[in-house]
Amino acid sequence: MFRTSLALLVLCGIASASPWPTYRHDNRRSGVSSESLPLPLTQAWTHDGGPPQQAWTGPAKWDAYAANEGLQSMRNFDPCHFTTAAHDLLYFGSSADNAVHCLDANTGEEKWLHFTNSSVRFPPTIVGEKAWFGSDDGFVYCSDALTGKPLWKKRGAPTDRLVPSNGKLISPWPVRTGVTVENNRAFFAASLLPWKTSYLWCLDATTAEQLYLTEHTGVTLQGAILAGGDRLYIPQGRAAPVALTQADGKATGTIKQAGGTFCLLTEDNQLIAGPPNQREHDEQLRLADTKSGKRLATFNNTTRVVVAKGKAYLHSLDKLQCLDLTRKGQLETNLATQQTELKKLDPKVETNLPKIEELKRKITTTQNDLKACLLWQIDHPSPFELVLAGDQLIVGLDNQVSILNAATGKQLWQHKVTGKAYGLTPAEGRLIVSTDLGHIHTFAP
Amino acid sequence: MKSLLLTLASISIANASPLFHWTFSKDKFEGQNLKPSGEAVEAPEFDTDGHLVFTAKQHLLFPEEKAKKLPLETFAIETRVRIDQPQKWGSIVSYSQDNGSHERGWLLGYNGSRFSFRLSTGGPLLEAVAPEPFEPGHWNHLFATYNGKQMRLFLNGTLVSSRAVSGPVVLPEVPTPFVVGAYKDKDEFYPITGRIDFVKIHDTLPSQKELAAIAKKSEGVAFSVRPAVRFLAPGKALLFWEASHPGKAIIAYGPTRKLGTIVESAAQKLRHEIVLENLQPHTRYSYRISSETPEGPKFSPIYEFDTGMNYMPQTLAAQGHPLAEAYLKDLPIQPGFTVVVGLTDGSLTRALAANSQLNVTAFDDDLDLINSLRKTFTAEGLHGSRITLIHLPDLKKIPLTSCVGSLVCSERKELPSPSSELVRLTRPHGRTALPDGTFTTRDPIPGSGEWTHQYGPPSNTAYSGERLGGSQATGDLELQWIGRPGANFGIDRQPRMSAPLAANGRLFHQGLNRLMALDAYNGQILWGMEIPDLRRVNIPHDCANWCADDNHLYVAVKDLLWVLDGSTGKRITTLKLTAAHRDSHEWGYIAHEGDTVIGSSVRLGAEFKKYFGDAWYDKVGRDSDTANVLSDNIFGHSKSSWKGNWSYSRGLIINPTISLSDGKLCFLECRNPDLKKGTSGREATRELWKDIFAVCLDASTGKIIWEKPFPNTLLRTETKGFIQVSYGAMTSEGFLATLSEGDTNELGKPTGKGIFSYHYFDLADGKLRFQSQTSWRINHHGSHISHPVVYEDKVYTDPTGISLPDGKLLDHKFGPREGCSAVVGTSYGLLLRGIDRCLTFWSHDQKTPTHWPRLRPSCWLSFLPAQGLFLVPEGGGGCSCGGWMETSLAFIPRNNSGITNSKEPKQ
Repeated sequence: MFRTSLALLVLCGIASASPWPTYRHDNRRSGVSSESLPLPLTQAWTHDGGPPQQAWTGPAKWDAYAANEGLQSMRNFDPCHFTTAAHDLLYFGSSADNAVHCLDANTGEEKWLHFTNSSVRFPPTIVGEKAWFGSDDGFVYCSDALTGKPLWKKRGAPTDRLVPSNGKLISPWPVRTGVTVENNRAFFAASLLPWKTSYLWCLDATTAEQLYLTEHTGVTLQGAILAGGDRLYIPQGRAAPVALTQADGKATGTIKQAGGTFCLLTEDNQLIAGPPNQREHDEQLRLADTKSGKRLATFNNTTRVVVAKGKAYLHSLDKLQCLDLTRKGQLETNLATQQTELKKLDPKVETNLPKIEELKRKITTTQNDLKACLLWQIDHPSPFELVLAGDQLIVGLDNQVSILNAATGKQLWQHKVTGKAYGLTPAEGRLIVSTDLGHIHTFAP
Repeated sequence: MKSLLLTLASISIANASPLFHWTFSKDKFEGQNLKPSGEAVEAPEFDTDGHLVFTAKQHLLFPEEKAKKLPLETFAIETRVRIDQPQKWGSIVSYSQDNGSHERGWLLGYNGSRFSFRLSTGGPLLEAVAPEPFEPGHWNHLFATYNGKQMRLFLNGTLVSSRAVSGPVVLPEVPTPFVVGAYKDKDEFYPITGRIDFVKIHDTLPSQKELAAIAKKSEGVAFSVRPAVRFLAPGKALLFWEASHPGKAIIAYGPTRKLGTIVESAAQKLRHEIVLENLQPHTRYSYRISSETPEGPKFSPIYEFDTGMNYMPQTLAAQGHPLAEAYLKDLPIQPGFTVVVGLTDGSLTRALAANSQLNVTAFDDDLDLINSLRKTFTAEGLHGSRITLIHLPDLKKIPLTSCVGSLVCSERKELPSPSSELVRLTRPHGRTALPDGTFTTRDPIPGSGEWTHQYGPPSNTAYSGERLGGSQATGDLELQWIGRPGANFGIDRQPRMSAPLAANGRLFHQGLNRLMALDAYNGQILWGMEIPDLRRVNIPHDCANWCADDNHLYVAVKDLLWVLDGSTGKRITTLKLTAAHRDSHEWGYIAHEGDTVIGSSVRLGAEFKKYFGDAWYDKVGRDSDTANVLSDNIFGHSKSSWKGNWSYSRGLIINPTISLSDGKLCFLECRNPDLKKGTSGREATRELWKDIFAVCLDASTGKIIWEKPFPNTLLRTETKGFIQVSYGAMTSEGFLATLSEGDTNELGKPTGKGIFSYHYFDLADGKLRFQSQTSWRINHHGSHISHPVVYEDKVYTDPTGISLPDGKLLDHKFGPREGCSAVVGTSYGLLLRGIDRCLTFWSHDQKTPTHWPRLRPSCWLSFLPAQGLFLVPEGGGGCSCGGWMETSLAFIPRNNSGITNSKEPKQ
């Protein structure tokens, strides 16, 4: 009965509403939803999920030897209870109480919960009426997304072995990638220790049958798996992400320009990730060509970016800004080529001088053109998260969430929240905000 | 709120009249002229205290001929200054030119936010820089001294930086301003922002006593025991200290340096204890203590503590539950791990959590029961924090690594698994409680060692007898636990700071002005404390600031030894230095054996604190960073009475050579009387190695058992070569002095080559049994300062070693050793930073290495084979290169781990 009425509701009420079925909306981890939220929003309900118990502590205070202060965390993949939303339901995995929770999105009432034996670090991926999630206990689970009924579970780790970790027990092969379902295949990794073999699983998302299992050495796979083109990309935190082919799970190498666990694929499957390392004195994200591994662009003094329709929204040095990313990428490539050519020319050789002058002019022009890639910018505090909902840019801040007009940067709406707003889920006409203190705020029209 | 600005009265040394003395107060000015002989460049403005305001372009010029007449080899510049704005090229007083490669003169000032003293002896300006940033807006006393050999910078009476230099200062050859309040030379001008109380220039150097007096006056609040913060519960911490005089104290604290919250301690006694509540998580707090004195309010510096280090569990209301009370009786109730195998209704599980600080993990095979209880405990906010329930289809074999639980029991009357399984899950010294009322305590893992001192036992062998279950390769070890503390705990790569310790199932670890106790077997954090004055680095040239026994942790903090309860962190007592040294020295060496605690006195400021910038302490040759820290005396206290028994004072004791074993205390001592008189307590001079004696004392009485003039070194002569580092260690038969000797060319510059020389004295009578040597492999990354691993029959230093007792060169090498860390031994191998600069296990039998990829230890010693485990608390954080794991963890020998399936994947 419940399922029927819910289905009717889906059909009748918010059939056009856009769900947020996986971590950062889709397998590119774009953070982009096509539908704008109806404004103004008011707080409908809040839920206290308990303080998240993160897998890793914060970064070192500094590299004192290199006088490099303000090092960034490269493994901050679980700062809050991130949420997914579909079927008028809201889902989150808890690193605190080891369960996946399903709440009624209208009321916040708990509809079901499914305990695992250890922390759950990513929200379940909702595909149809199935909810997929992994746990630090080394297992992956699939439940009925509407009722919570367990459908099956699969051990990703090679053994049942458990060891203490921060007051809990975990598998030496925890599943800290979540589950990515792409083309009806479910991907996840069981991994932690680089000196142990790690495992990448591929299951049939309908039958849960194993399609393949590949073994990988010298890696520590953690952070949400990205899927784009025929590849998978798996973050490693303090090391470069690993690229693998979806068809057979074989590693093709690492994306050396990338690092950290904030990763997204652009619409043309270029990887934005960061922080790439801790050597840079400023917070940095880099755009890398996933085929060549080459760096295409660098975003300095920033930790978050969201990209849609060739535009990048990001924060740098007290400014929130919108860039023409497509053009910026082309121009930066041109600039690099021009600068390389210039370096090759010996200014002591007289015949080179005209060419040198021409290149210098071109470089100046390109640099000016690059400045014109800035479409708008406004004074703004540094965000913890940025996502797009249609023509709205949603910004997670310290004790606040804001919605801006993506075309102009003008603020449209804001509201207080409790804690740092790391998780933003605009879905089905609501905005769900998760904070570092474990609170989940839901705003609705 | 009262102003928190430090308002120290002027302090200065009371020695002979200075050559120059200028005070920058209103009463000393006539118009723009300052008496005597100075001139302000701008019309002077004064603040409400009458101090000249230095801002914008204001500075003062003095006749250049006066600067030219200053002594060039023995002088001291003294000032009291308040800098309001850190800046590059800040100068308080200078007579200097810095024009590209042409650098001349001298300068006392600051660079960025660190005070700095610079001078030229004909080449570039050489710099002695304070390791810590100053606090803008606060008064500081500075003394910069030069004696023709060493430039030293004293901040508030304490030596903060020194540098070996030779020759007279070379003054600028071009006209140069003699200036106060700005850096000014031929083409550069950088005025400062702040206040200068006075500037004095002396032709004598300050005495230790005078410096100690300045240090005491500069302290602001006078503590008899320095402050510390111990975490009590989430959001809650105890701030405690002892004042030197009874009276009210005010504490200002907050999440920024603006402080904010004010609390009052009305204690009329000396001991103050303030519980700070509602603290935000993951927040670096600042605090300052002030007290009323007859001279007005006095203020401490601003200290810090970080609630990100607070891992104490939530406390629950105790529950009456006879079985839980029986199970917990006489068990330490601090955080730890309890394992319950088999549930009935969860009441015992809940009561165990409520009546202790233990983390309770319960296993059961009934999923419905488990889920029902999970919901109940989740509703109470307990599940996943204090209680975790785990469903297993079969309870006969629990897939948990061995040796985890402080308490292992069952709720069921009939055990669902064999009792041997419960015993297996119990940690050494932990309790297995069976349903029939039987309690057993698990014995230590056979062949396990204790790491109670810097290099294992107090004999400094870097080998505790740990067998690690016969392990000889990384694949023989399995993960036992992984987790906190992480990279945010330590100082960048733990720059040659004190090693962790392990005793009685506890692991102690030091970080950035903090320490933490963990359960060695499950990684549970037992307690943590933030101690602003804790830090000591450059241990290869000094000795550790702590040691442990089964019940206590002994920690040197400034002039006291804090005796802490090892299980709770509570301070039991403090021990003092010998009376003559209490005002002028700090606690140096610390060791214990039997009923005796050994300590030593080092001169104030001699210990190394610097860690920011180039603080790697392994340069080749003698300089200020490779100077030895020396003790003026050594003494013994009784553990049973906590009272002093004896003291020994003759020469200068070289700290890294002090070793203790079987009631004998051995060390190298310099008996050069001139050096003892003139030293700052930290020496790099050649004179240190004249008149050296090897000494053996009775550790319980301090009486000399034997003393022997140290024989000639093997490479260094009176005119050539140098001692890079010196270590002492003891076997059952002898005292081994290992010197790292570097070679120099005819100009006295290091050639980069050198040897380890071994000098082995018979422990019974001090007779020299042999001298022997091996060559340095390389002269960087700590290789040339390798600490030896000493077995009864052999000694290893990078890359080979010698056999004992004959001193013959070994026929093999170990390694590869890469990176800066020390090497330690087990019965079956050596542990070191090796392949790809990762943690590596080198097998004695196979003579081959295996390694743990991406596992990076610290830049000295952060890994211990002890307690039957290989303990690796995080030490490499801050190294921004490399994809290091940055985590604490421990390994257990596979054959003790509970793994029975031989097919289970090894590395």
